[in-house]
Amino acid sequence: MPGVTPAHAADEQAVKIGTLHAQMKYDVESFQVKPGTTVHLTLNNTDEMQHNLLILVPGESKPLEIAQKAWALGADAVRKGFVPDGPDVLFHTRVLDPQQSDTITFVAPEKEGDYPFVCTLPGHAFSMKGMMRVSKSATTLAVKATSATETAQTKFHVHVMDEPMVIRAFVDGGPARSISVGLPGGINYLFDAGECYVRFGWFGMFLDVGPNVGTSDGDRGGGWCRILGEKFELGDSGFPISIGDRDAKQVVRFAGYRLRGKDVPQFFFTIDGRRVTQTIRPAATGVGLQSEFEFETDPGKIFFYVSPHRLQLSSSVGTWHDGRLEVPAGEARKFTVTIVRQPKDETKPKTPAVAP
Amino acid sequence: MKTAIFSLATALCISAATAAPSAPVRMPAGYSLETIEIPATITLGVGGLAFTPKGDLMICTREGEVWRYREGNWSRFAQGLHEALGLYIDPKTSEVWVMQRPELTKLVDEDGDGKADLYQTVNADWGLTDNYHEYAFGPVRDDKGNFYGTLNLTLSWRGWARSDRWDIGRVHDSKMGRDARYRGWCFQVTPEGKFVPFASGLRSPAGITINKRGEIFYTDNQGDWNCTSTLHHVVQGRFYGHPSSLADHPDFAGKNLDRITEEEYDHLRYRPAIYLPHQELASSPGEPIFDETGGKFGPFEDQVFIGDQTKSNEMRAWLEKVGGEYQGVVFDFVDPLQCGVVRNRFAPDGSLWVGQTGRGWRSIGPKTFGLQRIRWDGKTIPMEMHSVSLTKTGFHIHFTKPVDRQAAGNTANYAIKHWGYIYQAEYGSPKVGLTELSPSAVKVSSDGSEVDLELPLVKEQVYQFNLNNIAGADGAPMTNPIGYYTLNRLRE
Repeated sequence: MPGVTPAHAADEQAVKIGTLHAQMKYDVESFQVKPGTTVHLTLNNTDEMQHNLLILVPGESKPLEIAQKAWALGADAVRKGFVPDGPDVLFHTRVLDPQQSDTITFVAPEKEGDYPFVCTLPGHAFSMKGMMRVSKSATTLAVKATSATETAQTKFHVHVMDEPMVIRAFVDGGPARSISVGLPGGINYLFDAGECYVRFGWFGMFLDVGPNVGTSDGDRGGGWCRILGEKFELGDSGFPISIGDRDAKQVVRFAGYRLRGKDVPQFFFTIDGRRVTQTIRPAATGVGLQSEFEFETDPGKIFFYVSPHRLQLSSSVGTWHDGRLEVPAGEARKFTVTIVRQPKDETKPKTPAVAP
Repeated sequence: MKTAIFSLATALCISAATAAPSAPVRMPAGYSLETIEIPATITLGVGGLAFTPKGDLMICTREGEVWRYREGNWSRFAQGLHEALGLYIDPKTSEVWVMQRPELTKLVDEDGDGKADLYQTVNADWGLTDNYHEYAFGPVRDDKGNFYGTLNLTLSWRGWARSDRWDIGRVHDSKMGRDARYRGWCFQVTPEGKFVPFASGLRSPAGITINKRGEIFYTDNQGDWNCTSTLHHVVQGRFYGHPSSLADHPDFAGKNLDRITEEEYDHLRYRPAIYLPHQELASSPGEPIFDETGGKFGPFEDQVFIGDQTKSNEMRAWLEKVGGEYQGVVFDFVDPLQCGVVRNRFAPDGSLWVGQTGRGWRSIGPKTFGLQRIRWDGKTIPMEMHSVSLTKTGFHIHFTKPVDRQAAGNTANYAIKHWGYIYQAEYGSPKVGLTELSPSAVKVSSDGSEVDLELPLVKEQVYQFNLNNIAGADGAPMTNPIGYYTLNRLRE
């Protein structure tokens, strides 16, 4: 039974919070504690994915802000338990695997107010959050989350567990030949198999395939899947690579993809018959992707185009001129391009950097 | 007109919801039905069936998965495909190809763990929009290594297409249009991966097959420009009736297809080999398959079995060439099955595996999806018309075994009707010129297994034979006493 019960002494309280199966929610929306109370908070993870719980300083936008900082930890995220540094995080559990629980003990703040709590695993913060109300007149009541059963709305949600997933289907906002890719950790993207490049990404949960597979006996399907997260731009300006000239007339053909176990998917296409392999990973430096392009044979000089607005661009070779990367002949057989969303506090675009 | 169509669709849904037969009403003697149990975790809206050389059944689904099945064991070979509606497995090398909505794909298990890890695009040169109706069917492969598939037209009913792109390429206010290139075509993909537009005029060609002679047939669904559901023999370069596809035909480049009349299109088109009378026999046919089991499936070698999605039945057709073109007769066979029939495949042991789906259109068989298997016991000859062939003066009926000679010798026991259909842009066609008659003479062979009927013959008609009053010499009635012969051409 989730909720708050009086502990041994009047200035101690025990709080139990669970997770709802496949709904990306805690089973408690809010609870109340008195200032200065010693709180024993237990997070019991009954969902089939990993979760944590961070209690934050007051502020309506804090849950998403802190979660985004956690997601931007990149390679450090796991080591840090998806807890970003800084004074905004007051208390936190560790990351719990399915069927694990963790109890943390802390003294509630003296200052009355609404202190949000949130799960900072990638994408979860959109729905997995709640409120700790610190009030001198606190009662022992906790407000339970509304739905405790799997609903029709979530029945066709596809979750990425520990292996990448690829789903070909129409996607809202995508082209007819869309390939949706979900990576463990909550970074997802849409590869356009008609034009052969990544259109956009999103972080959070993966995909609601209900409209594609049909949600009822009378449903023919073939509708647009919904992305279950927050979209991020990747500088879509059409097929990015131009060989030889700035505006080469090229025939680009999709050739398929490789999807094997925990490896990130690789995409194949040809430019005027030259075979290219694109291996796409989450960017280590923020919300975005790193693509490695490998030509089967040296293409000579190439240009790579990105619409640079609000993005941080970097690459392993070549020189950026706003959104145009020039890679000189002899260096383009294999290179990486990293496109990351600019942190919101930075107003001016950074000069694209070239990795050493 | 639209109102009429929608109320028809509604009526179909209601009848599907109320009828819940537990076993087929029609099942010829010697045949039995097995229902394959599907694990509760699998949604198996069957899109394609194929056997590996080792005898495993592979099943691809509308939900985008490929499953391997053998004796109650299921394992997933591939997933994440875009509405996979057909499989081909090389009988020698075991290589697997799948037809997805956007492309023909080879599925390769590189590391040998039983799961495909390389999804190799073979060809994706046809047009595709987000209109839900743009299905791709196939592939079949000829002995030169060419693949063939068929492409649906674009649904052009406002509000039903789930797409802004619904009102493009309609001809004479047709209900289907052409939003993107090669919709409504049968196509070939060469061993080098090149796309070749092969034949035009298709509408909703949900099943394609190739026989051991390399002849390709497809089924099409009743609708605009298709008076009733049909089985067609595909020959390169031919036009089969729905003009929206001609937008991609070089001979029609720059022409306004609306200014060509129905009569002119009628002269351009090739007729179907077999009409499947609407509602009586079929309403949305799926995959045809030739019985090339060498007699393992009963006395119907070289005949074509055709499933129907709405009616949930299995039909049986016999073809002959008259004037150089195929025409022939079709009967009901097993009716109904548990769910809409879209795919047919013979197993190495000669049993017929039936892949089923009902979602979206509903089916007489009330299940949403399923897999069943029809077996023959290897000895019992059912009492049926084996074939009906055209003669210069009437028809020759060949029974599977002797009939009651006295009943068969009475012309009054042959209730015959014939009618035509209107080739038109409008949806479907009524029967026109419906004529009832009895043969003027009948001659029964000495062993009672064949009869010759004399009657007046009119070309471009469907002849229905009802032999309800004729039973076998042993008293056994025919399970399917009604046959429908498509008489396109008279014997010279």
